[in-house]
Amino acid sequence: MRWSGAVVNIVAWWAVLFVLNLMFISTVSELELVVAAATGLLAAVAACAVIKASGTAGSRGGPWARALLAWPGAVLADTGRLAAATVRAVRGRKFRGRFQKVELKAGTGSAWACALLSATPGAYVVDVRPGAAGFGDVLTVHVLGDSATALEGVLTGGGRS
Amino acid sequence: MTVRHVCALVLLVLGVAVLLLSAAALIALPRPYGRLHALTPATSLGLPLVALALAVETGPGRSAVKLLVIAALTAVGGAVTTMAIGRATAQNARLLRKDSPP
Amino acid sequence: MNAWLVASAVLLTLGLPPCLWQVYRRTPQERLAGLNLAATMCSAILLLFTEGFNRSSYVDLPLVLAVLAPAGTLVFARFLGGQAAQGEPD
Repeated sequence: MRWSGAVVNIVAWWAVLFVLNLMFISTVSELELVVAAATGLLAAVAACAVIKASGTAGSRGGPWARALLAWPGAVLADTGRLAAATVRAVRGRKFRGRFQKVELKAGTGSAWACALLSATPGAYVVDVRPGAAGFGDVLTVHVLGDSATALEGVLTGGGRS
Repeated sequence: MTVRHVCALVLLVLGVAVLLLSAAALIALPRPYGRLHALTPATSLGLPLVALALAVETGPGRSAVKLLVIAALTAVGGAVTTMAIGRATAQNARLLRKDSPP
Repeated sequence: MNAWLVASAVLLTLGLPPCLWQVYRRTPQERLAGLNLAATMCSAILLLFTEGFNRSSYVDLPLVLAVLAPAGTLVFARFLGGQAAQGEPD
């Protein structure tokens, strides 16, 4: 039944929000528990409604575990490259970044993949175009340098186009 | 000086260094698209390192969880806003297709 | 004067002026980038005040800022990006 999936979503959100709320306050009393439960329910329903309205509800697949593992290394490597690029720019050497089209692996959810890729200093996503059937979405990404991070390798499964 | 305090100070120095690097990169990198790369190290690495330093200093407990939640919120928010500003800049320069959604 | 206050002083004097300089010049989108980084810097500075002044209640400020600053940036970006999509005479 389809609404059972929605109920599971709401309950999961509610649990997370309830625990977060209890973590944030300093003293826990019964009134606080009631308030946390009630507002958590409202917020969980709102969150599930917003997710459904944004149209990204189906885009969850893909190698998210491996991508999450590759993310911290990518952040550190890109910060080092950004530092080198800043030093070069301060010294006066002109260079420009460029836009690049990157194709995701088929079946990768583009919402979380774009967010994860933009969370690294080396690239940020500017546009998403749905790919042909059987292929992944095509992202327009702005990059500063030429070397791609391991995270990009996990998400795209290959070289840049 | 306990080990925990030394760890917290090391993390603090690293976090402040990354934040200062982002500030320097903001005005040094080529404009307009290059500068947006300077926003991400601050939100993905700099502020989480500072929050981690504070969490190590205050020790395990509720306030450490609060600080780590701040770090996670900032990291996610930073990725989304970098994408939004980049897209707004590209749309203003008419680099994207006309039928691309706002 | 402890290490946290020194760090927040460093961020205030060396970290915020480049962001404000970026807010001061060029196109609106570039100013928005400066504004975003300034909000992140302020979050970090407020976090450091929590430990610097040793008041745990100060930590609510960067929490609220971490939630609201991206929302404000998204609102600005929505209005700035849509400028080219509608209404400009060709």
